[in-house]
Amino acid sequence: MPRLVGLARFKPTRMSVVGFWGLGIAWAFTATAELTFTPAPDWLETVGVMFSMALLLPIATIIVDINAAVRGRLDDIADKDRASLRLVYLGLGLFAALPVLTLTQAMRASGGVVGFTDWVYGVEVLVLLGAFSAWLFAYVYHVAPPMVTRDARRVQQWHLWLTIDGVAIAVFAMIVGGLVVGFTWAGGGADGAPAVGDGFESTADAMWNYGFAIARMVGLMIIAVAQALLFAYATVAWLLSDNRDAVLAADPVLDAGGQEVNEELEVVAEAEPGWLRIGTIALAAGIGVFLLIVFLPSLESEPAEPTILADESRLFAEGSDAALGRDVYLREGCTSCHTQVVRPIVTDRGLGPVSLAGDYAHEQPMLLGVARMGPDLMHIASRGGVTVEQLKNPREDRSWSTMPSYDYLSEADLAVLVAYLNGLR
Amino acid sequence: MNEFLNQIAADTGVPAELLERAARARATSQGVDVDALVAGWAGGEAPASAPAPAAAPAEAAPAEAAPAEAAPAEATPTPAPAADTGAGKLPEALLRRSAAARAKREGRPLDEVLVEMGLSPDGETSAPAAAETTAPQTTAVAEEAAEEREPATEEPAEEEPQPVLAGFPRWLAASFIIIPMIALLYAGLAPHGPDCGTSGALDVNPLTGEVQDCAGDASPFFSLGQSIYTSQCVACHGAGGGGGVGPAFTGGAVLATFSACNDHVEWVSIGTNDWPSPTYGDSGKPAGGGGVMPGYQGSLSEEEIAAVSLYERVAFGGEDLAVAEVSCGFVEGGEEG
Ligand code: HEC
Ligand code: HEC
Repeated sequence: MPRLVGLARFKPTRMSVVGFWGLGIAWAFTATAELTFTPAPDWLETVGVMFSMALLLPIATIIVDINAAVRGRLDDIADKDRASLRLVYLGLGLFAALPVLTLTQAMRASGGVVGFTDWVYGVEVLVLLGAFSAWLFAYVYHVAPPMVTRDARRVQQWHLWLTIDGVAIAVFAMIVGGLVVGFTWAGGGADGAPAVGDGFESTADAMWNYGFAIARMVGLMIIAVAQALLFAYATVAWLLSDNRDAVLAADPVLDAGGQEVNEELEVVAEAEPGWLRIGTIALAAGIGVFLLIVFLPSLESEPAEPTILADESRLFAEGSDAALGRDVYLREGCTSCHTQVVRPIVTDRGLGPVSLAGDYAHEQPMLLGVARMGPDLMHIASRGGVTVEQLKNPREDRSWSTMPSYDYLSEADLAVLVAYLNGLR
Repeated sequence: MNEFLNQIAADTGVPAELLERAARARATSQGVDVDALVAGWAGGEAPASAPAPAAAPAEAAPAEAAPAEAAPAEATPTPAPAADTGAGKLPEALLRRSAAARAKREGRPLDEVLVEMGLSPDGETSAPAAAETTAPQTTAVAEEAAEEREPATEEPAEEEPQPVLAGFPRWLAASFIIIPMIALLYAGLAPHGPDCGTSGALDVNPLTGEVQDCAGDASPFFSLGQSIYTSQCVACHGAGGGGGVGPAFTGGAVLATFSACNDHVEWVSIGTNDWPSPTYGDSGKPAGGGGVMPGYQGSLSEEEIAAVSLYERVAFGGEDLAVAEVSCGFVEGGEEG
């Protein structure tokens, strides 16, 4: 940021150090937000909630710090030619929403509704395709200043605005669509049927009928165009341009204007000895926190005893069809659309017996999954099982199915996959 | 943009945009008009209303360039870095700084540059600046513009030990205490997750993983039904309703067969053998097609059969308990439910 606004020299400020380490420590622990109500130990879920709250701090610090760095130069953001600066601010704005969304997912009262819905992926789009990509592109545009030919600049502006539009549309559709689906599950759908088998249609309807599915698709396409195509175009245009070498040799201190820059403006990052110290203390504190609230309790909790369910239907003997099928399941990424966990909440009524930690005692890794774009498969065999046909051609019986067709898998793979699924009682 | 600025920019190679900013910042801090200030730079005349030209850069520079340093730099009264070199001249400290910068850039000894700019080489005495021509001045101003973006490393304030929280707004520092406290409070209040019946949580039998009735929406009929199911029906229909000898109830299957609880109860009472018609259920399943199911009207009371039907519908079929209580005849349907 200091470089982007033309500051000649900068040191890492204390706030940036606090923000950096704070983010590193707090964010890692918020991952348990995806385990709300699962058989994961309750204390682990509580840790996730605590750190989701704590995540507010480093993110606020980073925003305040960066704002301070450009104090008095905020009008630069209105400058159309400062694509890098504007992208950084776009990233900041999106990032600011992260702690709120994470907390909503981690808190049990709300996590039971939004968990496993599109919401989960909406947050990822916000952070990865939104904030992080914006920063990455800001950086690239900055160190390759020369994407400052007039043409390239226009491309950068399109890049910026399309990214804003795409992320806004996709994230809105996924967050709000996720809420609608969550409430559909909690309410049992239109006909009260649970969201499995044919009953999943009400879930699909919730996304399609209000246009969320379309908006999600449109938003993601816009992001793809903005981030892949335009970026590729800017890069190629730059590579083909005559002044590439001249520009490469130029000092990248100021990208705006693109004039040759006074040598005296060369950036000198003066490492302040203090930041190393603060960093070390922060790291030590992080490790301490980890030991205290994650490692020690985990020593105390016994590995779960295998339940009857685990022994009867989730014992995947090495080399057996079920074990091979499980590998296919993992390899094909079925986990990104299907969960294998039933939570003890109203939302999951009708999916079968609630999952306990011991149910997974014989599995490594556990295929809990992150989202239910399709029905839960924990007890799929108990409700009729699966046929090879169904995987090859999901839309044969259920015209509304959004599951991809797996006809490209070999017959052997399909056979073991079905054997695996039909053992999940 | 001011033409003087362009001229200075051309002379020094510093982007005009930077110069303009420096001028703006300076003008704001001195309370003078930008144009007058720039004209002063170019023509060697200081703006008349400049109250303390020497102190100005010292204030402006850290405040803008290094926010973390801003507070202390502003708090301690900044001593004027050097005596003013006279009306219309630039402060000596600035000239010296720019001399150093020039020496470095041009790879010449510092002293030589100093002498050329009319300053004494040793740097202690403040010789009057011999800058009669505009050229060195504009250079100096340009250098200043460049310098202005740096933390003013020579400022005395820099050497003072700084509080660790320098630059932290107070509200942010406070939230570093308040939010962890809220988090700890949360951990203290909700260490074991929500109780049964809150946040949509149900009660789960830790042995079987089955959903039990829960304090929040307790139903004696549901409990009764469960105990009958586990003693009478579990052998053929499975602990989780997943089926076995008899068909599965899960995944909405049982509701698909019997959308109405009455029919469900009738079926359980009579069973396969005495069933009056060749098919049963909404979907017209062939009676006896999936094996033989005993009738229970001899061994169970009417209420017990209704209770076990309710249990199957709610626990495995996913039907809403309140709905099932009405349709199985335990609760009067109506406005109040
Ligand atoms: C893009 C998301 C997606 C992916 C990836 C996906 N599915 Fe599905 N799946 C769905 C949807 C949506 C449904 C519901 C519609 C249907 O039954 O076809 C479904 C339904 C199913 C069903 C039927 C569930 C029921 O309750 O009847 C099975 C079994 C299944 N999927 C297995 C798989 C397997 C195995 C894989 C990996 C090879 C996989 N799915 C990958 C979306 C997905
Ligand atoms: C001896 C094994 C056995 C026992 C014990 C048993 N059932 Fe069944 N049940 C069956 C069979 C077999 C069928 C299929 C009957 C047919 O196809 O004619 C069936 C069917 C059903 C159906 C219809 C399900 C459908 O979707 O077709 C219901 C409801 C049902 N049983 C309830 C009960 C209840 C309630 C009990 C305990 C009070 C019970 N059963 C005990 C074997 C059993």
